[in-house]
Amino acid sequence: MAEKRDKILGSHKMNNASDITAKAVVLGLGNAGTKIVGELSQLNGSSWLSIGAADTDKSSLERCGLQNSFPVGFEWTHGTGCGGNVIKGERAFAHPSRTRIIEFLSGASLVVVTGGMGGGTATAGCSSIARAAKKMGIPSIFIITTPFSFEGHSKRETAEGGIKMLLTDADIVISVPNDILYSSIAAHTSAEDAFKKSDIEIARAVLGIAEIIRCRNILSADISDFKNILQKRKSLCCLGLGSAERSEGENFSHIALERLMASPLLGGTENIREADAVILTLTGGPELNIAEMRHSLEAVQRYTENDTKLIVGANTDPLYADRIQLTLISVRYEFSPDAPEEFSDVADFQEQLASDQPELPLLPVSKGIFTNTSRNIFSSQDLDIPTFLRQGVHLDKGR
Amino acid sequence: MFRNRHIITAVEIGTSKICVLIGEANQQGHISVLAHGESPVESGVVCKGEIIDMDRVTRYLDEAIEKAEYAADVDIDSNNLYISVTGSHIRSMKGSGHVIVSGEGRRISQEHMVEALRNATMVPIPPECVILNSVDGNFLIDGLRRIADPEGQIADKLEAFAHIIYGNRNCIENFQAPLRELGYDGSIPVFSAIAAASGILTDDELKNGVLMIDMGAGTTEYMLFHDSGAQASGILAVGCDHMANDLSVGLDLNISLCRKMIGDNTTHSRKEHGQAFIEIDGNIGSRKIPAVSVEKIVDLRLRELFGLILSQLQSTRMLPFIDRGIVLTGGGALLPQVREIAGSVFEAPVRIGSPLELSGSVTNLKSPRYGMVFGLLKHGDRDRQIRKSGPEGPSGAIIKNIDRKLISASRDTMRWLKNAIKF
Repeated sequence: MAEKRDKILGSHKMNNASDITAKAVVLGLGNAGTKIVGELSQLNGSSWLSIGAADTDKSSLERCGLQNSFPVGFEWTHGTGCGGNVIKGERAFAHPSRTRIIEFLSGASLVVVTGGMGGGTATAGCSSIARAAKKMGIPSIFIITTPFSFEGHSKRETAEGGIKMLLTDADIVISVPNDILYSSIAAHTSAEDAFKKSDIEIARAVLGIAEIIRCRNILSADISDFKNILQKRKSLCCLGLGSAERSEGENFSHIALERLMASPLLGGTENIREADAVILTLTGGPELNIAEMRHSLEAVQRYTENDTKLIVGANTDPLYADRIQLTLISVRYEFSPDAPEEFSDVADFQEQLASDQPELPLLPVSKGIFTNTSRNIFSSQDLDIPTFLRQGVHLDKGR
Repeated sequence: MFRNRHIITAVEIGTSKICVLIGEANQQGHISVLAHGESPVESGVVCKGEIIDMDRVTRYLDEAIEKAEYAADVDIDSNNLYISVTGSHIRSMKGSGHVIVSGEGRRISQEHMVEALRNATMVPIPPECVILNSVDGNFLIDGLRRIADPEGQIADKLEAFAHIIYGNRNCIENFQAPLRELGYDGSIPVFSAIAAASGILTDDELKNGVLMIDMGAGTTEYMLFHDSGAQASGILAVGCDHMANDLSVGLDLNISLCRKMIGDNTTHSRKEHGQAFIEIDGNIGSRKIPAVSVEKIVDLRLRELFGLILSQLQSTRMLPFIDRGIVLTGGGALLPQVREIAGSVFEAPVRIGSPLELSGSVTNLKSPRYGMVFGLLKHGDRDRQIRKSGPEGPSGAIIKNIDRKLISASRDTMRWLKNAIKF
């Protein structure tokens, strides 16, 4: 009997082990991407990732000092970069450089690519990597920044073009406008610090997302959950990460939660409340106890509405000894996913014709004295708008 | 003689009025109202239960307190000062906790009950929130028998259920801020639905199941009781002001006029007298508005409001347990059609709740408008007794027999008791 139990326990352990060895490849493209992965390699808990960087600029690759650095297109640029030219960037990711990168990606269960859109290398490189990953059957996630508004219209157009190309092949694209990224940093921060901080912020986001594929040994949530949610339609994503160490106090899970909520890219708790779906992953050390886990997961659940789709993953890892890390991705669809199609049925359509013609719903709705007060949304209805307006009841105003 | 006077003050910062009641508790546990101070609040100062204009609220509150203090001829005791808290940030949840009953003969003692209840209130809430109140629910013995007072029963395991109300810390402190500004520190916040329930519900209703709906000017709170414990509660940021606003938007009328129309039931009395129109003197001459339009707007809003409460409660599966029906209170309960509409939405008998067992020199409080603030006074008296309770202490069921040892042994227990409510 005891032997049998040992056997079961043993096999269970083996399962755990195999999940932890899931390999995630993180690739930084271009100048910005190289810096981000440089920061990522410094972060606690990133040692399980295989991190690489690819750039056309020699000096930026030397600065990051990563083992897996791929100089692309050096054969003809001689390491001077591609000067924001997308065509040059595409050429750089052509045959000889590409095979080296494909070699690096092989065997991965997830590819996370990061970079700053709008330049040459990342704009062209992202779609090239996306195609490669698709061919190899590896799910790919792209976390990219888009240029500042002061960088001008042309750069933005380049970036948008790059994203459009990327969307056809990538599984998930999360784009973070630089303007938003920097708006959360105090105005008196020195410029150097600000850039470093935002690089770290993106690096943490990459780390948090990569964590998803490992969330199997306690509560499972994986990349297909993520894909399911994001692929439905165009959506707005916000991402937050909070971590804390046990040495910071007994309530360190609470501290992590507070940090998560204060994450600059998350955009506040209000954002979670309005989300259509929330993906939450928790990683802790092997000593993480059930109360701490429940505390964090339940507290996040309180932020969400009842109809929010909540996907929760939890994972333990010796790397996270005495630490807890929470990653939250909130997703808001541009349109409600369950919105019924109008006139889906012929019978409905006829019924509609038979009744009185309703007033056009295009009139701006008035909220009167509640115009500038906090919103009052309840099961997707704004209760501050008069009921008769929402129900389309016609009234005699007298004369 | 003078030392034994217990002055309790209840303060309500509402959307339509700021109200201060000063009461005195006698030895028998009855409370008599000494004075009542009230300042009307115009539209836009407090909105949907949230304070918009802090300066004006502080000024009105000062006036109301002054009136009350003058009439009562006593000073407010800031140790016994209670303030009702409301707003859409308030949420509730069910907590459960258990203890393994050990000791001689496995008999459940008061200590076990306190321990189980305390475990029940240890629930994870978001970091920016604090627990406002917790209402004791009932107990489950060995996972089988549900009992309100399990003391003395033989059991292995005792589970306790509590209804926990929590809200945003800053929003709650916002209600205490004007009081602090006026020099009254340490006011005790109470969720307004709990206060209202203390003031208007009878013991029989609490025991057999009742749904209380407090329709204020800015918000509507509801709370469902069964078996002397709160089973569900909630808040909707919809009140009489919304009806006034609906009228204002729908019929192109001034908002203050609409507030007045809602307040004094103009339409209804006109209709009783056989007049089908309301004449309004506007800037561009007088206008005749069909009374039907006004009624329709108000009806739709009320129906929707009750419908929302109904849909919220349906998920709790507690609706079949409200044997004593619905009790409506707050200014909204004065609307002529409200009983009929509530009755048809919930399919249950409806009564209008006014302050119960009202005694004292102030006589104009017998109206649903004052159900909540009077309840707050009553609740305050009970809470005061719990806070100072010694061995010969108060009448609350669970507090009844707690011995001195338990109280002094742990300050933590005291802190817990401070916010706990037993109906």
